[in-house]
Amino acid sequence: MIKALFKKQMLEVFSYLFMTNKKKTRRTGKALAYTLVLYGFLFAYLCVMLFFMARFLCEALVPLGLTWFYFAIMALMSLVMGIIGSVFNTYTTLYQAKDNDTLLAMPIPPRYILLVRLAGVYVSGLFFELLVMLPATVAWFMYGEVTALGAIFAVLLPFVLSFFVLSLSCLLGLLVAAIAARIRHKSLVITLLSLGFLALYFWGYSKLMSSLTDLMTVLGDIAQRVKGPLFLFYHMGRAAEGEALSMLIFTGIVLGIFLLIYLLLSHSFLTLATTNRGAARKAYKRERTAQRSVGRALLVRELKHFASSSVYMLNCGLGALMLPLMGIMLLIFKDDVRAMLPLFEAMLGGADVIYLLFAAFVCMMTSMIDLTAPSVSLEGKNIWIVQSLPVEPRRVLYAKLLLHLLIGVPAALVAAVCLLIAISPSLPFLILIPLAMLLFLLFIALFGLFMNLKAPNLSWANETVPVKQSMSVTVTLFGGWVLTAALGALYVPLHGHVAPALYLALVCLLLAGACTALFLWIRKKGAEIFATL
Amino acid sequence: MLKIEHLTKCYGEKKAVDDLSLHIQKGEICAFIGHNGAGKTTAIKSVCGILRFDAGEIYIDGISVKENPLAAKQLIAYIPDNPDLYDFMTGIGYLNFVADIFGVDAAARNERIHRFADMLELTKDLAQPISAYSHGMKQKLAIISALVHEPRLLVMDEPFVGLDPKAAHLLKELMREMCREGTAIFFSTHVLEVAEKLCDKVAIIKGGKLIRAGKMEEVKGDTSLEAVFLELEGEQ
Repeated sequence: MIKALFKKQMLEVFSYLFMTNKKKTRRTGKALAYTLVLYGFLFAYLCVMLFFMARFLCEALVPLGLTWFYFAIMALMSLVMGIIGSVFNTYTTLYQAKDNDTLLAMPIPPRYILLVRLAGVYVSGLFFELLVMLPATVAWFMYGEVTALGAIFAVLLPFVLSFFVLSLSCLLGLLVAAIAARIRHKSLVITLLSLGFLALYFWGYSKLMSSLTDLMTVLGDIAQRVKGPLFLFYHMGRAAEGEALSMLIFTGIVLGIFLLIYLLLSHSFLTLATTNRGAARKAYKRERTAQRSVGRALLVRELKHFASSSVYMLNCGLGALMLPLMGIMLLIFKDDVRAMLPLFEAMLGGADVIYLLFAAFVCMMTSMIDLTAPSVSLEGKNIWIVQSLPVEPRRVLYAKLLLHLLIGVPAALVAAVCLLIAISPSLPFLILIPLAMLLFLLFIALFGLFMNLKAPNLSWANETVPVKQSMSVTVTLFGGWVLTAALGALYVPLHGHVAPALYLALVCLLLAGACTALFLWIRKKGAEIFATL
Repeated sequence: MLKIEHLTKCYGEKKAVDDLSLHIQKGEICAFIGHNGAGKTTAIKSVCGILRFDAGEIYIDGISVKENPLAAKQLIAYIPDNPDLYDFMTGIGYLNFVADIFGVDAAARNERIHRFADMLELTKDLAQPISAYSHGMKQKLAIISALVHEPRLLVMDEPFVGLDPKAAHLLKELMREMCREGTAIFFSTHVLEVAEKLCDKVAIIKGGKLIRAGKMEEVKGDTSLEAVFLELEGEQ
């Protein structure tokens, strides 16, 4: 029984890899190869980026005998990645899966259902955690002093560590579920709680990182100071050095915590998965409702969907919060930023090159808003409604684009204004940076919609699947990063021949062209696809 | 009002609907019956412009569904067999959304929503999110949303599934009243007694082909619709 349940859960988790999105049939060998290559490329790209940081830390810490500290830092980073990757979908995966009722009606002990749901969250967290731990382990193999036992432990550690990610995600999931069972505005509370948790985590992490600033001068002292609080990660690092006892302690503690969490969750699972008590019943008042235009009605529909789903808000709209926050941080630290500008200018060999980097950075941040990428899939089984109503499919798609811009443009503008105040660039960049940012935002909106029309998934058990585990979201999010990096890299051979402002103007032109092409495709071909989904 | 001419719809090699022709006049109620997988839902979805078909034509009051789907849909209301509605909306929010799309003005929609919601005893639940609705409540909401723009053709797929006896009775009354006002109704059902009592016409589909269609009295003759259906089902 448990094997069948695991198989079902894994099929659900990996369906975006092995199944076609539209008809839910198995991908052919060629299509599967393309998909695997694409995901493999994205995974490798991020791993390579993180490898350079891992290498730097490894080379700095290992010769000083602080291998454990190296692993502790990388483990904390991977925890951030793993938790970001799984915490937002833990509650939905555990308690709001659409097949909960079906499974609960079968002769399956609820703790088994919980176990397989946890396996889904584990895999999700592991994927993100490995983005850090894989390059960390590789760097350790290349630049560390690896023993045979240490090598075996180093390979096993990320898989054990992922149980810790799972436990932390579940704790938050439990807290959210307990509160959500008693309130009406679940999505809002889940979103706020998740953001609060994330903020708390980042605060703790930044405290650690500020300690790291002093690291280079008082390494040994810092390591000794944090050894106590990082007791768990101390043993993780020692295990990587080949200490069997530390491996046992680390594994024992992590699995012990997970076991406790599992027992706690299994105690309340049935109640939380089937409860909707306490929400105040809203009385209906007969009020005359004003008529809306079709476009406005469709936009309001998108807005309501967005506001009702914490998974959607947190995963696809987080950038709208991060952008203004980034802008405010830049304003707060504008003196420091300005002080660093000449250094960077000297390093980059040009006064305006740094502004290109800022433009690339804010564009990268902008791609964290990817509301359109799962928006077609999110229609799910309800797609018959807009298909049967007298509304042109392209207008439905326009509403999805509009929502993206409605959420994204104010955030981008706030960030752009703050950035411009902070760095006071030359006149061309005063215009070009916000323009590039807005064009990139539009490009991501159109590209996300294009991808989702190409790879829609209308049959899902919970919204986590189209929002987090879909090709369209992955390609849009990481594609935005890859594109900004590629556009930045493209300037390297042109440096000295093309002025940075001219290059950014050309990038804007390129983006405008790409947006026009994508818009025309969505208007005609995209609308046809949507009508026949 | 509804004219289906040689409708053919294939899924790959399989013909789900095969050369189906059927006419329904204004004010007529036509039952569409057939075993599971006979092609009823495919035909119904083609009529409503949800599915594109491979051959044939469908006209709603003379408007081609293929050539002018928006104008055709403006005249239709569709209620699916499983009312998957927007869980993120309230009942009243959903009804207003549908009314907005059909361009129903404020006064008319308010009057209709409240008239039908009162009739189906759903008024007090209209402010609740649809996610809190039972299957039957969703079905009632789908029915109200179908009536809010006064359609000329009402197309329903298994409309009585999930309704309580009182709501089912009210729906039948509504259907009769709409017919008196000239609306044509085309619906699939497995409840042959209801079809027999309620409908002017019946169409029986088997393996995608229309095997019998006509006035109810002509099709069933001296026997019951059930007897005719079972006899036709038994034939190769």
